[in-house]
Amino acid sequence: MKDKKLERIIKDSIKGKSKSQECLYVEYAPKMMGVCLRYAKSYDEAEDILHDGFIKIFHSLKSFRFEGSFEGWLRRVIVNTALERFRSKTQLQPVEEFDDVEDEEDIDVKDAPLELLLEMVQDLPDRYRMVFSLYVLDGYPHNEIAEVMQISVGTSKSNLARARNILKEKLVAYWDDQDQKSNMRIC
Amino acid sequence: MLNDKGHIDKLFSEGLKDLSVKPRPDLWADIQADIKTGRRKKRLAVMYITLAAVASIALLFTFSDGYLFQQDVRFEDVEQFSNVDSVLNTEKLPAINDAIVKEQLANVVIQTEKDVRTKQRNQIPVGSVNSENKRNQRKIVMQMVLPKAKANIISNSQLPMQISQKVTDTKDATNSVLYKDSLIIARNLKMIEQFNKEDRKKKEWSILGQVSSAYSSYSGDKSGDNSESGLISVGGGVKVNWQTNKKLSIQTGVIYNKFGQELGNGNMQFESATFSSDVVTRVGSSPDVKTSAGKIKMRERNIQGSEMMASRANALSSSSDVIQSFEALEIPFILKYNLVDKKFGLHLSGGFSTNLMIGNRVYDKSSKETLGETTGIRTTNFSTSFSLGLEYQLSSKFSLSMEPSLKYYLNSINKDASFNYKPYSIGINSGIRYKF
Repeated sequence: MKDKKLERIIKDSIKGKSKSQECLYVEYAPKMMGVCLRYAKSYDEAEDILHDGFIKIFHSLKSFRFEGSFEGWLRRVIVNTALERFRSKTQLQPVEEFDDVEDEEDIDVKDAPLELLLEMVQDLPDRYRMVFSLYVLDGYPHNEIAEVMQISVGTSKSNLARARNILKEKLVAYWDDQDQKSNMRIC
Repeated sequence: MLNDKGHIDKLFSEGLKDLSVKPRPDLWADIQADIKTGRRKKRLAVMYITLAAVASIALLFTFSDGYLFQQDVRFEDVEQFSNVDSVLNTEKLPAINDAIVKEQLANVVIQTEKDVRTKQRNQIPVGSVNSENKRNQRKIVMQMVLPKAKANIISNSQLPMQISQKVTDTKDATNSVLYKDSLIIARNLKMIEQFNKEDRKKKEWSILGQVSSAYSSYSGDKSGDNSESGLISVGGGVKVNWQTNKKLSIQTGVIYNKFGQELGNGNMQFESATFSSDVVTRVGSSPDVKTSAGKIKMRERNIQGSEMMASRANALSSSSDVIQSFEALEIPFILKYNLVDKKFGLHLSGGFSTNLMIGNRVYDKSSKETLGETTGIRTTNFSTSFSLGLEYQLSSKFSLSMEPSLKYYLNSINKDASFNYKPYSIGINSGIRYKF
């Protein structure tokens, strides 16, 4: 979407024009759904985050200063919505502290289908999924993760290492399985 | 084999970073509906608030007519009314019918002109009321209706002349004017009285009984080689609280408190003076022992018999500690500021106190036997105190309070300039307050 057109649509959306709001939704909802899916445990939860996120977007649209990327701003709001949801879910759960997990084991990284990668991320325990998505997929540094998730930097690092370990194990199992299948086909 | 960290991140990042998935088609309809509901709620909230504000103002004007009317009344206004009354009296008019006045005062609902006319019909012949009288009556009725009391009351000062004229015209008409005017006078006076009562009520008195437990120690120069540590003690007293306004109150009273220090058994000077081999003769000659608070003058005793000597020497040379204590009657002047004035209240207090020393004693901690006293202690000392208090209202009359406090002596309690002993105490005051 061109900048001027986008600006007009945003301004109209701020005024509450439904057409403009819908236009923004149609343009950005799929990308934002992609973000939601990485932070959610399931498709339904991702939709809930998207729903809440877009309501928040339209409520706080007037705070967008037309500086920087609008998509980046949208992502930030969606990630914040996901984090709020995570915080409200984990409020009553005891916070676990882990020592740093050092993993020096090397593996041969191959390709894997997108659906599988998403499924693996979604299957991660909540905190690991949040830290992994924030760090690896949205580029948050550990100190910022620690702040938004109300954990220590050390915990953020160890959660990331554990998430990586889990994902690696699953990937290795998948690749082994794929290798076995291809060997059987050759035979 | 490669180190996988970067690659795993890259694998997920490349795959999922720009993931784009179309949500279910009807999700937008849900979002839109919720946005509209939110907007509607917001609009409703604004509407409710506006309506509530309008209703409150309307209610205020409706029900507090007299109250608002009365708030502007000043003594000069009352004098004006008195003038009206006196003018009327000098004309030897019939006395005010008290029963009717009372009845009218009890009736809070504003009188309308129509009501007044009806009353006139009942009291005076219709034919005797001329048009001028009617106009005057309307004026008087308006004074009761409008809340802008002052303006109307001031305009009322012209009434005597008008009324006088009327009196000469017709006696019945004058009766009517007198009746209404008396109503206004009585009503205004009553409201002034009420207002003063309420004003007095704000300035309420209460009495507070409190006990305190505090840890006392001192700041200043340490003198002597004694091992000195703080003392925990209990005190208490009665305070009177005068609430000057909703937030601020003044407290004063009498509070007993005790402070001092514990002299440990590493009390070298003490021991060398009293517990050495010549203890018996030295006790008799009452040696001085130096502490931070001042010199301790040992009580002189007649040493009678070896048993007495043995027990004293035993007490002093044993491992038991010695307490150097002071007792004071504190007369505080405290300003209390209410931070929260609800069922659970929170307040800040601070002020100055005069402390009259009523006790000065050095005694054995275990046997409580008095060993002597500190010399050079001032009889009057000054201190400052701060506290943060919590209060729980049990009923309209009683409330419980708890107040962590810090008290600090502003002067050295010893007159001797070589001692700079300024005690302080940190404690908790708890008490019960009774409002009069």
